[in-house]
This record gives sequence, C-alpha cells and structure tokens, in this order.
Amino acid sequence: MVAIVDDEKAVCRAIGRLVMSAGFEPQIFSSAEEFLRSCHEHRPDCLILDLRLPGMSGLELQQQLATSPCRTPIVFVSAHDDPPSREQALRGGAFAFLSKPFNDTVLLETIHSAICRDHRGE
Amino acid sequence: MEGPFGMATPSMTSMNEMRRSGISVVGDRPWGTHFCNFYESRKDLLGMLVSYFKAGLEDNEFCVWVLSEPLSEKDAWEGLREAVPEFDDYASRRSIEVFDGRDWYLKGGAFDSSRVMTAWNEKIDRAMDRGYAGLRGTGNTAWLQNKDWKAFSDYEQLVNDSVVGRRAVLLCTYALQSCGANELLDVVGTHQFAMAMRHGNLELIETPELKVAKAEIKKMNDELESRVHQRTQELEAANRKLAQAQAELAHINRVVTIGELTASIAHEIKQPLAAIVGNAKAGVRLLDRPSPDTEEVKHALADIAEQGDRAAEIISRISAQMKSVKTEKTAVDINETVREVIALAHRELENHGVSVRMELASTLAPVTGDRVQLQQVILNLIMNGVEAMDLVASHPKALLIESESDRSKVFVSVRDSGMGVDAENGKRIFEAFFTTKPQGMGMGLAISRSIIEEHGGQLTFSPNSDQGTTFRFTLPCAT
Repeated sequence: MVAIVDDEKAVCRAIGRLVMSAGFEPQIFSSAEEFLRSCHEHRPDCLILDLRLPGMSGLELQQQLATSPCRTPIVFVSAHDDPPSREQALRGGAFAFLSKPFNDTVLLETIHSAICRDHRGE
Repeated sequence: MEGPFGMATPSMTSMNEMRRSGISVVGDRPWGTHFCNFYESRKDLLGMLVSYFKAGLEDNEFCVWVLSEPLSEKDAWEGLREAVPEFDDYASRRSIEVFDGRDWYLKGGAFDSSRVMTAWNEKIDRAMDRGYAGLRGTGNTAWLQNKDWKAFSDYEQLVNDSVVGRRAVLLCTYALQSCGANELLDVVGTHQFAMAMRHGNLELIETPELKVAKAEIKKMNDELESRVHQRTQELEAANRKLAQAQAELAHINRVVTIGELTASIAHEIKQPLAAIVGNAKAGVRLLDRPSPDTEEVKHALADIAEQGDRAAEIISRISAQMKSVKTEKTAVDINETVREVIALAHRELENHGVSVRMELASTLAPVTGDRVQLQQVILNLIMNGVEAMDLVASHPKALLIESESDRSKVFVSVRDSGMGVDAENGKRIFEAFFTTKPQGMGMGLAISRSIIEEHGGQLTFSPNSDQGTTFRFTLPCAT
C-alpha cells in the first residue's frame, strides 16, 4: 500500500492513479495528522509526502515517523524550489525528493526502489 | 454669559455677523451700521420703528428708543406690545428702554455731543455686560433747532466714524419737511445710507462714500474669489499629480516584488500541472493494462480538464497583475529613470551582495516614452543580472549600467558578471515563458522586449568577453 499525503486533492488523485497503474494500492490523506491517525492500523510500504501541508508540515511528520512504529520510506514531492528543506529532508532519511510536476516513470521507479530497499532492511 | 432668552452670547457672534434690520428695504446689516430715515408721517415712522425694534428684541439686542414728536412713549409701548409676541417678557426684563429726545439730547438744557456719545457708549457697554448681542438704537431729531444743526451734524459724523467696530446698529430719524436741501445733504453725508418714503414706498438712498466702499468690497471679493479659484485649481492639479505618482509607485512596487510574486505564482501553476501531467500519464498506463480501467481513466480526464481550467485562471490573473494600467508617452530622461530604479531596487541589490556602477552620459537626449514601462524594463534587466550572479562565488558580483546617445538614438546597457547565457538558451531567451530558472516565470525579457519594440527601439544581448552578459536597448530620441 502506498500512502499519499498532499493537501492538493487533484495531485493526490493523480499520484493515486499512477500508483494504481503500477499495481500498488493507493491511500490518500489530505494532512499529516490524518495520516498519523490511520498509519498504526495500516503501515504503508511507502509514503509519498508533500513538503508543505496545513498544520504539521512534511518535515515535521518525517521527524515524528523516525521514532515511530509507522516508520516507512518517504518520497517527498514539492512544487517549491526550497534547497534548505530538500537538504533537511534527505538528511532526515528521505528516500528521494522529487519536484512537481514530476516524471511518472521516475516517481514509480522511485517508489519501487524505496519499497525494495525497505524490504531488504537497508 | 447668556442673554435673557438663552440666546447665543456675544462671544459666540462676530462683528461681521449680519443683523436683521426688520426693515425690508434695508435687509440685513452688520454691526456698526449707522443709517437714517426721512419720514413724512407719524404712521410710517411708528410702523418702521416698531418693525426695527421687533427684530432687535427677537435677536437678543438691547434696544434704546429715543423718541420725539410726533411719537410718544405710549405710542412706542403700545406699538411694540401689539406687534411683538410676548413683549411683556421683554419689557419686564428691561430689554428695551424708551427715552424722550429732549431728555436724551438736551440734558442740562443744551446739546453736548460728547455727553450724548458717552451715553450711547454706556448703553452699548451695558448691553454687552448684560449678555446681549449688542445695541439697537434710534434717535429722533424733531427737537433739533437750527442753532444746533452744525453741532449735531458734527456729532452725526462722529457717530458715523466711531460706530464702526462697535456692536451697535443706530437709526436716526429726520422729519422730511424739516430738512431743506442743505440739511438733506448734511444728513445723507453723515450716515452710511439713508431711507425715504417716495411715492408711498420706502427707498434707499446710498451715500457716495458707501457706494465707493461697496465697489471696493466687491472688487476685493472678486479678486479673492479669483485667487481661491486659482488656488483650488492648483491644489486639484497637485492632488492629481500625487495620485498619479502613488499609482506609479504602487505599480513599481508590484514590479519590484515580481520575483516573490512569480515564485508564489509558479507554485500555484505547478500544482495543477502536476495533476494534469500525473493524470494524463496515469491514464495512459491504466489503458495499457490487460484490463484497461476505463472508468478510472474517465475520472482522470475529468481531473485534467478541471486542472487545466484552474491553470488558465492563474495565468489570467498573472496577466492582469502585470499589465500596465495605462500608457502615457512623455519626454523621459533615461538617466533619471535609471537612478529611480536603482533607488527602488537598492534593498534587493544589497540583499544579493551586488555592487552597482553607473556610467551615464552627462548629457543624454530625452526619449518619448512611458516612464513607468521603461522603469519596468530597466528593473527587469537589473534583476536578471542580479539573479545571474546569484551562484557566483569566484569573483565580485558587479553590475554596470551605461547610457549614451547620438543624434538619433539613446543607448542603455546593463552588464553583469554572472553565469552567462549559452548559445542554445540564447536563441530562446526572449520567448514568453522560457526560463532557465526553476522558479522563473519566463515573462520578464519577453515583456521587456515588447515594451522596447513598442517604443521604436531594440533589445539585444551579447556575452561579455570575460564573464557574464550585457543586455542593451536602444530608443529613438524624442523629436
């Protein structure tokens, strides 16, 4: 299952459809808080996470997940060119940081690689 | 101190305040009015004076009626009681005093002008002390004999000269049949204006002095009106200029923050673009599956359409914000325009660590153009240069702005020491929406070139021999 956290509903649906087309099951959340409420029940195999969210930001969610049982590989996506945030996300252990609009092949291959690495326990 | 009927205290009224005369042909007159009436009949005299004092009593004036034959004190009281509502109230408050003329003017048996002047002044002072607006007085001259004429005439002149500046209105009444031609002239000459019954009607006779004074006042009023009108026009013109300058400044401010504006607008565009491209790519993949999920593809296409509309709306908003409200072609000093833009962009330059050198021609021909648009172009070239030098670490970030002109053209160049423009990008640099910057909108150079070309000029660029790029524009000189 691939979780998608983005307050832009249309972007969520687009990523969801891409993920579905690659054979994964998408689950869409419009805020970090909404994701946190459900991740204990269904830990995703990968998290597609927008940088800027209402309430808790993507980076804050990353920090919280780092010490949580819901820890999962994170692929950040953002429409902002924000080098400091990008650096922080990657230093915090993000698998990748992709800019919107993203290339579909790159996104799907990144998700695939993230899940494989996680399963190998790297 | 309040007057007897709670009316405005003297301190609240001014010397220029007009007072009702109660006599229609006289109308309203200011304090310091001294006028006379030539009467023929007792009835006309009584009627006129009752109206005169009715107005005074109603307007909180202290009234002094100095009468002689043909009128008696009884005539005065009865006339007033009949004509003035609540007259008894005024009488009980002693708002009006009635004197016999001989007692007033001939106290001690002879006419003494200074004694009479003192008496009037005391009445005026007493009126003020008691809270009245001023004094309204009348004196009948039927007691006057030939032997006192000259003295009385001199006294009238003294009253005429000294009543101005005092809160008093004084009406002197003369029996017409008692006045010969010389007396008439004397009386008219010692009052501001005169009234007389002619053909059954009360008419005004203006003295020459009053006519001249009125003409002078009219002339001064006309001059004042003209000056006020001129000043108003100047003020309106200044206000219009100020409003225009403020609008220009607001426009320039908008332009200065266009970097910030484009960053946020770019973010807005990227969201619908991500949804459009994501949905389109997903649609293709979903159709490629062994069992195409056409329903989901339909939803994806609907999302693409919706996000396309959203992107179009964002672009419309950008166009509206960047559009200049109006263009106004005037003679523009390009050097001054460069200095204005540098002043505006000063903070941005400092923040980016860019030093600016200006080598502007000492005499530069003016160009005909829209000053605000030309400011926009210069600002765009400067900000492009600043951004081109953002990643420079190996040498100082320096901007050089030059201007020169020949007989037909003005040349302006903006030289940076930045990354330069490669040949490939150089071919597209003026295209709308083309940008080498991740956050750039790609509108600045396209708009700048469009503005310059619309002004009959050209915008070009060339790589510098060492590093960076120089952008140059030409404009025709104003004819």
